[in-house]
Amino acid sequence: MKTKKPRPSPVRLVWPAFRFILLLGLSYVILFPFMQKIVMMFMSPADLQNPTVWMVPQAPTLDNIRRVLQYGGYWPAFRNSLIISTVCATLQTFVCCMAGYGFAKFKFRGRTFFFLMAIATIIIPPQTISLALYMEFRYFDIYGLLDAAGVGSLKLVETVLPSAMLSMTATGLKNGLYIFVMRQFFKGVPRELNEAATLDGCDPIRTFFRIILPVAQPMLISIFLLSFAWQWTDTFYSGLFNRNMAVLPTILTKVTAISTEAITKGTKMSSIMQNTAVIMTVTPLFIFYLIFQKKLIQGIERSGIVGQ
Amino acid sequence: MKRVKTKKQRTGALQRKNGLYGWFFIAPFVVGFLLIYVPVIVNAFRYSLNDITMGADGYELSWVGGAGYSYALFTHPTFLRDTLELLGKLLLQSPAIILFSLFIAVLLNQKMRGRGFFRAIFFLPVIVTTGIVLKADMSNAMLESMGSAAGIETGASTTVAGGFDISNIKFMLQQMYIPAAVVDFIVELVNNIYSIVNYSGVQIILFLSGLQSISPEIYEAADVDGASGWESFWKITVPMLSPIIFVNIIYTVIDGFTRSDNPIMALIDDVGFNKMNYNAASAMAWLYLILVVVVLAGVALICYRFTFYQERD
Repeated sequence: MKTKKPRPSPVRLVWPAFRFILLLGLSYVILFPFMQKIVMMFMSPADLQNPTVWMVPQAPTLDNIRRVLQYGGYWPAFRNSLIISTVCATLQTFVCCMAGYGFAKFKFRGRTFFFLMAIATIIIPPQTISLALYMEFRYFDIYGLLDAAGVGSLKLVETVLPSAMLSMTATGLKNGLYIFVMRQFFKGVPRELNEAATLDGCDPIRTFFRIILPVAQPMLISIFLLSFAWQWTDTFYSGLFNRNMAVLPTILTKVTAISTEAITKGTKMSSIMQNTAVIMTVTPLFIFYLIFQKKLIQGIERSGIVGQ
Repeated sequence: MKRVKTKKQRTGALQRKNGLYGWFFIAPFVVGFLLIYVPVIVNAFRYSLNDITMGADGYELSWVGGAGYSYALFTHPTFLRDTLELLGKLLLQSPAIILFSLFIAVLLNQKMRGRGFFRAIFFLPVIVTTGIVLKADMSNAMLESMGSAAGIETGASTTVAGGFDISNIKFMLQQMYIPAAVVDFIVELVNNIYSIVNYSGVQIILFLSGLQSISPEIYEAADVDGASGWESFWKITVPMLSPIIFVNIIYTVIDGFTRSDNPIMALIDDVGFNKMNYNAASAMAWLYLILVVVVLAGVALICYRFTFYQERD
């Protein structure tokens, strides 16, 4: 696949065409549901009554978008989502990268145990511990210490602290996966890199920041993307900890509950509102991906370290 | 990688110091795990042994012992059967997801026109399988009336894009004297192509960044030595990627068991929040968890033997 031989074999001639058709077909499978939702965004009530309308609205309108902006409180929610997702994703990426590096490159007692526990945090589905998690932050206490000190338990729900604390300590949404990925990645980075740094008088912490982080760039960007995307669309933690704070996933329920059109015009209209909200939530994410994607490729062309 | 012998030459002090640095790097996780996660898990387990009544300020627990567990195992009509059905389905689906995502990642890693476009498209499944899109699709009157994604949106429908009837493929394969089990397997895969594509999003991204981390010089060296693309795929790409393949296998299994649209998670949610039997729901969740851990341990043991690391310990 990488070879450049003077005489192209028949396989090499047919392959690009085959590849293109295959990817195009699969793209269709992925895109179709999105196309449907995008079309719905522009449908007017008249289109709903009209049985001849399929995929192309005959009386397109921007009302749906306007309603989501107005009733859903789109822009404040957008700002909150942007701040929370950026902060959480940055913290998670960094902390998980550190943990993955610690698990991959150092030997100490208890390493295997804690690594297995990191995996365990993703095996236990969030739903299983949702009530306990809520209670933990509703009556926050560190093993009864605060209570003993006379402070009493703290109510941390309805603040950003629960999400921030979980992100800072690599126990947030799917963080075990990121730790696992980083560990596996660092296991593939040759030991010579560390040894050379040590010979040059770098202690492990400086080695990590100066040499390891730049090398891990492709993986870090992928993890940041995943983390950002999951935080952006997360309904679990926002529903648990921040019921009153407007973030993008919550406008979904808001817009169907408040908008009079959704209430009076029945299920089809409310489903249209929902789909509009989904597309308006997902589109910024897609744009971020396109921007990062470019960065991703640039980063890669410089590194390529595994197996040197 | 025969580095084992040099290890003994190192002094104990250096190793202890190295170990301390290890603790430094994993410290945030250890702190979070001990201070936040452990209490949460312990409480979640207590809920499975107690009945919970919500009061104005906090909740009260009353001890019921194993009642929730015996309800899940012996009284609930479908819990056990559904769990085993899901297990069978995942055993079929997971290898397909791994192979598919590896294949797509290799394709997307090749130099071609429109690569950025296709990569962006294949990122979309990551979004689709998250909370909000699933939530919106669960009650989507419009999608139902418009017809689902050319018949492939739901696994329930039997036609693949453009009225291509699945029973025709089945009939054709049967005519070719292909064993029934194989035919069923293929039909199942074709029928589930929509879910396979959508559950491969994360895996494709991880594979892609794994592929991009492999040094191009190795391929150049192999090329100079006259290796074909096929050979360098098996002799370079697969071993170099095997740590990431390992992650992806584990993740695929975990994701299959724990994603929110799987029937057991829905059942647990239903028992817990709609029928208000939180005790039984958490007992079910713990039983289910034991099964997941057993399956994962088996998978991990098998995979570990085939994983190639630059350094082993």
